[in-house]
Amino acid sequence: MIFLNVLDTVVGVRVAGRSREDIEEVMQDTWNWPWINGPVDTHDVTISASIRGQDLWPTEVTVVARDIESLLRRLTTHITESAKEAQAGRLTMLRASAVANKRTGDTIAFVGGTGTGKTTLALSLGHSYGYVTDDTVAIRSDNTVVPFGKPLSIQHEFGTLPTGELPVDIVSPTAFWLETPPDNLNIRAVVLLDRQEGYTGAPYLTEVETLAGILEMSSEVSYLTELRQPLHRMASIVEQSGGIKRLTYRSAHDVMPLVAELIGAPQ
Amino acid sequence: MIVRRRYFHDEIVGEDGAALVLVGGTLTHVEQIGVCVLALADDWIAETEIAERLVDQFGEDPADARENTRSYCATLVKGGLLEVKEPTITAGGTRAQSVQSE
Repeated sequence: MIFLNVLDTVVGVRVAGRSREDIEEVMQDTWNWPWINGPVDTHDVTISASIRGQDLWPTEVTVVARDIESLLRRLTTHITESAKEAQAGRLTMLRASAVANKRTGDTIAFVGGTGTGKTTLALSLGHSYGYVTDDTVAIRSDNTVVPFGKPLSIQHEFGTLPTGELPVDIVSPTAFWLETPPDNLNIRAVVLLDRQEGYTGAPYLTEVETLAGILEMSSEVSYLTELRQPLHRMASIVEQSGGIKRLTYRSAHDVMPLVAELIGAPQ
Repeated sequence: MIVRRRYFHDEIVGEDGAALVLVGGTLTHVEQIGVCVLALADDWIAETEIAERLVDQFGEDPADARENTRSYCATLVKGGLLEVKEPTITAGGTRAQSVQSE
């Protein structure tokens, strides 16, 4: 069984069937960021995976697909969602990407829905700052942040990988030569993304009124109502972040100076 | 009107008196009248007493508090944040202070 440390949750993936070794090898290449070497005593979730028509161990979550590529995509989703479900009520989980100052651990979360540029921002800034996640910013009750370097879903418009390997849609963050984040991540800035395709000016930040910002953020929080006093939790995160900001921009390449204002210049 | 607020999962109020209120799975932005929500007890309470609490706890002008409380409560009832007990009509046609049993 493969064990993954995902969002403070140990997920065991039991691969079966004739393609087991191939699947496990690719998983080790794509889930290498949070990989746990060797067996662990206990785990929280078990997922069974196999190519359709091959053997399968029955567990609470099973994933089958017609080929390895499809299986990896589905596994990424199931592993992520299973971990989120296991942490419901514990972690405040924003649908956001994030990078961090490698010296201080100060973390900036880019909150937004599909198409707002979360992944592009994290990949662009992750060459200078510590890459935290492209998907979920998970914040503990003490406002420390759990890094989540899941495999990335990359569309072809991103071009060829530096390694020239893994010509598939699911790739490890390590394939992009991103900076690893420090251990002491803590939330320091929350930014709502407003990406405007036709915008030609310089990117800028504006303050967002606290309650309006929390209301807007709430739609991007997984399992919000499972949290104890969820609004107080979000208010605590906002307070530590010095308020909510909105980033109006077009290209991820232009925002570095604004990020430096919020979490310091990269080391 | 005699009201009580529904069970709130959580609530926060801004400096301008607006509030975010989570009732069940629904998050509602209550503009300008968040202080009224926070002034309410979980027990049934007359709107006249709410007005007094707004004066005591939030320093509202007494005349404003009395005038505004009725419309505040009506809005909150409409928004599903308050439950209401309608006063009964006595045989003599006057509104009684007693309310229907739960």
